[in-house]
Amino acid sequence: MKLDFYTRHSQLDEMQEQKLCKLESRGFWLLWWGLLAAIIVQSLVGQTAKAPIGEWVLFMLASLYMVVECIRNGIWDRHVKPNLCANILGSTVAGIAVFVWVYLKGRYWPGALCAGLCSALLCFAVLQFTAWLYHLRHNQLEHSEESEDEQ
Amino acid sequence: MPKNLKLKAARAEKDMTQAALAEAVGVSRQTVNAIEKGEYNPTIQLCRSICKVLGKTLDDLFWEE
Repeated sequence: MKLDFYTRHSQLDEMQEQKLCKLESRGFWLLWWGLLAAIIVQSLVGQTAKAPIGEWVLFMLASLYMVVECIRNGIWDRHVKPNLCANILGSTVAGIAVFVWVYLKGRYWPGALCAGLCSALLCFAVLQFTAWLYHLRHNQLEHSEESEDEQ
Repeated sequence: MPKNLKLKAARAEKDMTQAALAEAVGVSRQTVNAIEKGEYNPTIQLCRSICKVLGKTLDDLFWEE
């Protein structure tokens, strides 16, 4: 029997390839946010801490992949600049989100406040560090020497 | 993006359908249709292929006044 359902060469032209990339990108973000929502809902409805471990591992792997690849390619974000103001705002939003989440779980506001503050500080440190890495890589790519063919 | 009427006219001049032009340059008919309607901005490689098939220059087909 001849197998004729697979071809090594792409069957898509450049416009179809671009459209497929857009669809795949939307699919990725749909899964990313869906996974995050599923983890939060599971933790809020009283699942044990170990229950969403598979989801967490998958979520963290996907996030880590995006961060590493974006920095490697000298890309930060379409709209947000990697500066101190944006990082403070981003970590504040993260801290508030964690505060609300922990408060809804335990109804104990001092604990929630502590968790929120720690998360905000940790998030700020991670953002500052990744922004520094981004600047390093971006400068490296922008100031790389031209090849002899291009001179 | 405005419609690419120059491409449509050049194709008609050669008496080619969108499908024939698409086949000649190795893309789908929907891509040629999208270029003519101004919905897709083709790469320079595809622009060159289209120009070669239609016997026109890049300026003739893709330069906007």
